[in-house]
Amino acid sequence: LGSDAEAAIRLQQRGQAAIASGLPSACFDRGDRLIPWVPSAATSSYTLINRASRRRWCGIGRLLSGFPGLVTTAAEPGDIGDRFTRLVLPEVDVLLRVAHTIVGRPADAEDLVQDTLLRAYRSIETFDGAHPRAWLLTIMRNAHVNQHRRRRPVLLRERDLTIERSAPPADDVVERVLHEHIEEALRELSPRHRRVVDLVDIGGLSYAEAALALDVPVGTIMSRLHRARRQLRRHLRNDPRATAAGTSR
Amino acid sequence: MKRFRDRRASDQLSCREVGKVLQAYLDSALDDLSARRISAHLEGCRRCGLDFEAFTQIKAALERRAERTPEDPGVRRLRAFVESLVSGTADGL
Repeated sequence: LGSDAEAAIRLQQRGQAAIASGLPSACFDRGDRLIPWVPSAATSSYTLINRASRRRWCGIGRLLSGFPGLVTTAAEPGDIGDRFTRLVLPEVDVLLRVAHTIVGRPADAEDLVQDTLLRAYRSIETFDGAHPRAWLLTIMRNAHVNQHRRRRPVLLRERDLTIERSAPPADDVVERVLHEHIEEALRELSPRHRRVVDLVDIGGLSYAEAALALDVPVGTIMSRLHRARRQLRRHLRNDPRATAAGTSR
Repeated sequence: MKRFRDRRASDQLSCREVGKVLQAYLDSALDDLSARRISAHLEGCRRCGLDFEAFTQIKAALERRAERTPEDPGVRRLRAFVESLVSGTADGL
């Protein structure tokens, strides 16, 4: 027998032993460890997720006791809305910023985020709750690919297409000069370099999150960021007003 | 990056090596040991120290730019959309 088949038999024997010992149900993590799990008549349904192996089991019941690395996610209908709001609402502004870097028009960016939110809501029950931003960025990337294939109807009815951006307050001269020249320097960047700066420096995303958003390797994010920042610096160094503001040396 | 990480802690880093990971150091994306070694190099190397200072200022200026940008009105609409999803009144459900 192959090692997989032997392992399966061993697991089955252990499962039967667990049931014989009074445990109505049991499941195993990748480390071949028994996780006792008792189905109950309660209405709660649970998804058990092993964070390390990413394996999951769904069913009705309750976990006997806590296990490190294993989380339970309640999936009662009443909880879904609360859970979705708690996980997703704080990420809406980041999602919109990312969408602006992926698609050109503001209205398209908003549509993309709305599509993302709808897809996320439909799959919230299978989400383990870890790294909601990465989860949402993955959904957004897929939604964007699908939108390219097939244009969706406009979902928002009352859309204000103009995004008002007021001028920054000129609280001091150095700040204002720096701000103006950063704007100029940003305009000089190529779209692909600008996108990475928008996501990481302005949007506050990690390298991994930016890689998810743009569907490129982390190394590509790092090299583009490196090049973009050097170009920003070169632009500012060549500008005597920016030099006076203290940004370039 | 791997080669960089695997070097002995006592090895001196060259400016070229530091330059390759300086942006990751700036973004706190390096492991602790690598970050300590970069930090030690920056303490003693004026050129790399000035480089780091310049990039720090650029990053800070970009972050301030983000803080100064008023919230996109689309965020408010999308938050309302989240509420409508949860309450079951959204289109497309």
